[in-house]
Amino acid sequence: MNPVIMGVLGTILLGICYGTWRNPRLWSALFWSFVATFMLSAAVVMAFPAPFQDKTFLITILLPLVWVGFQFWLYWNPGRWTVTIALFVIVVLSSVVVVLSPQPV
Amino acid sequence: MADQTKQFKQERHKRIYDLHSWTGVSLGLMMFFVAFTGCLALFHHEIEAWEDPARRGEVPTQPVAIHDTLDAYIGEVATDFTPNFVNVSLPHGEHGHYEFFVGGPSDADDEFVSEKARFSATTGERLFYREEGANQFLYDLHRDLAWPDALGGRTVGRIVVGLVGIAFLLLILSGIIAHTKITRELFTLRYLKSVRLKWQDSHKVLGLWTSPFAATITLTGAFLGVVALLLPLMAFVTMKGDQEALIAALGLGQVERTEVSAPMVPVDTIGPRTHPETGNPLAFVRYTNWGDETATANLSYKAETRLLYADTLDVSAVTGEPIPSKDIFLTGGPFAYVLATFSPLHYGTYGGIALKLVYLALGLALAIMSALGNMMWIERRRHGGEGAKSDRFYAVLSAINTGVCAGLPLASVAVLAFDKLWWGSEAARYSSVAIAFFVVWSIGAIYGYARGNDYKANRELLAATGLGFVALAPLNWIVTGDTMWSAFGTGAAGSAWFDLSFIAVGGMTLVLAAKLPAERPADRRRTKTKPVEAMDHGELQPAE
Repeated sequence: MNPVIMGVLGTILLGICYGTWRNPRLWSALFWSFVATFMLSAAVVMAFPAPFQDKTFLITILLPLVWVGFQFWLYWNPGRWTVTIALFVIVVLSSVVVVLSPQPV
Repeated sequence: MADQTKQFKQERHKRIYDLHSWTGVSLGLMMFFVAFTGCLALFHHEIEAWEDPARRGEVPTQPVAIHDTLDAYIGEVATDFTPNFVNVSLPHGEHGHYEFFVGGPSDADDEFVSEKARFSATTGERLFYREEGANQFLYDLHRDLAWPDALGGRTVGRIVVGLVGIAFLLLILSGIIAHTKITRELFTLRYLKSVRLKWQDSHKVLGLWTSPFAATITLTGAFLGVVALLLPLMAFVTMKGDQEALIAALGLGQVERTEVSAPMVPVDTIGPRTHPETGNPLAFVRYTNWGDETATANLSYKAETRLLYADTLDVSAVTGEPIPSKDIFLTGGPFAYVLATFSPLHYGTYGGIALKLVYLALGLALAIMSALGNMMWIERRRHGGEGAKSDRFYAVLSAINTGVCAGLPLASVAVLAFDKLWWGSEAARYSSVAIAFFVVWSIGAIYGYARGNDYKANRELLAATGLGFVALAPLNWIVTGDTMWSAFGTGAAGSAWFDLSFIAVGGMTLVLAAKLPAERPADRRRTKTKPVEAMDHGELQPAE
């Protein structure tokens, strides 16, 4: 990848991390809930034994709801960091599943 | 213990209320924009007859055979590209003529190129091709903000609209949960006590009564928008970046041409002319791999009374024999069918014009609710003791909110008139309409700011919109010669209905503008200045 693009992306990511440190709820609602949503979706699509097409269509329907559900959870839960940490865990576990699972056909 | 539980619940309520409030304030104008343009987008097809006089002709009972003309047209235009896609819109409904679209990859650089033309259904001669104008632009504003190619193209705009849908879903959820006394709030409208209570109750009543509709619209809209963002991401993650593999796995792949040429079954005779089950007429034929032995044709029949965008049949374009459907939404199982319902659910195409009018009323309620949310937020800070900024700051916000919200309908009416009067080339029609729209909208926003009185600015911009609506009808009569009284009962009836509707909507808008106050009405209850925390608590338990 172009080093300039990598630099820009790295700066943005650092900015998001700093923002998360200062205001975990807001930045998790803006960014980490989205990352957790699509990583979780991808992990579910790859890990569950059902026809790929069916799984993808179902996940596509549920995706906006899951995303909004995460955002809402951030404000429902009293802990300042609880849901943000849960989202990080979801991202990490989903990433492990995605890396270890074979490519669907 | 009971006190602790109560405090815990109050804190949670405050968080949810803050979420609702700040999400709404950050995106309120955008939501008003999407909801209002959505109301216009509902009538995208119906208004074509009003916009384009060529669509007003009677549909002949026996249209002239057009296949030879199509063949000759393809030979004429497809000299430097492969005509992979040939779409033919047949005479039906508002389309009293044939319309061709021929497209495919360029021989030089593989870029997709296309050509369009229009032919008479009675004589077969080529007609003037009117490029897309105000109607398409207003539709695009709702779908993808008519996002310019220079900033990433329509996909970016679609994603932005989809993200607004996600925020709208969050607002609905937080709005419902933030208000604990829903049954009481459903029936509480205090119009005479204070400006704040009037707006607050109107916001809640509109929001609560329309919440099932709003949830449907926002979920389907969010899906239609963010799918452009999520599908590539899904491909990147599940298929390790291979989007083509994802397309193949979803059954969306296209059969490659073999370059063995074969004659096509004529568009005049291909497939049944009416749908075998619904009896609806064939409206559209899409050939894929035109001229090749692998060519297929997808036949679309109107499905206006079913929860589908169109009923389709697939046939071989070489033999005319039916082939298994390639429509994954119809063949991909129950979840795929649910996805297929999203577009008709979003645009209300499954229940005729009556359903669209219901959608219009509910959509306008959503737009008004969004504007009211912003107005309430500002009102609380200007006259309710909330907020840390100066009154000047909130006054500017209020003026911008008024100008932007009231300027949008004015700009929409203005571009319909501008398009009707357009005097330049067809190639420049769409871009000129876009420029005119933003110029008028900006003037509206500046006027809202410069007027110095939001109430008067709102009234005057609304009055200008009403006059504009009323003027659209005579403008149409003068420009096209189809007067309302002569058009009913002919092929131009669709246009006449719009003339009538414009006059009615314009009249109602003028009456509304006349009824609105010119100054902020004095509150009939004593204004209380409370500490911020106490005020927040009061808002969470709003029924007084």
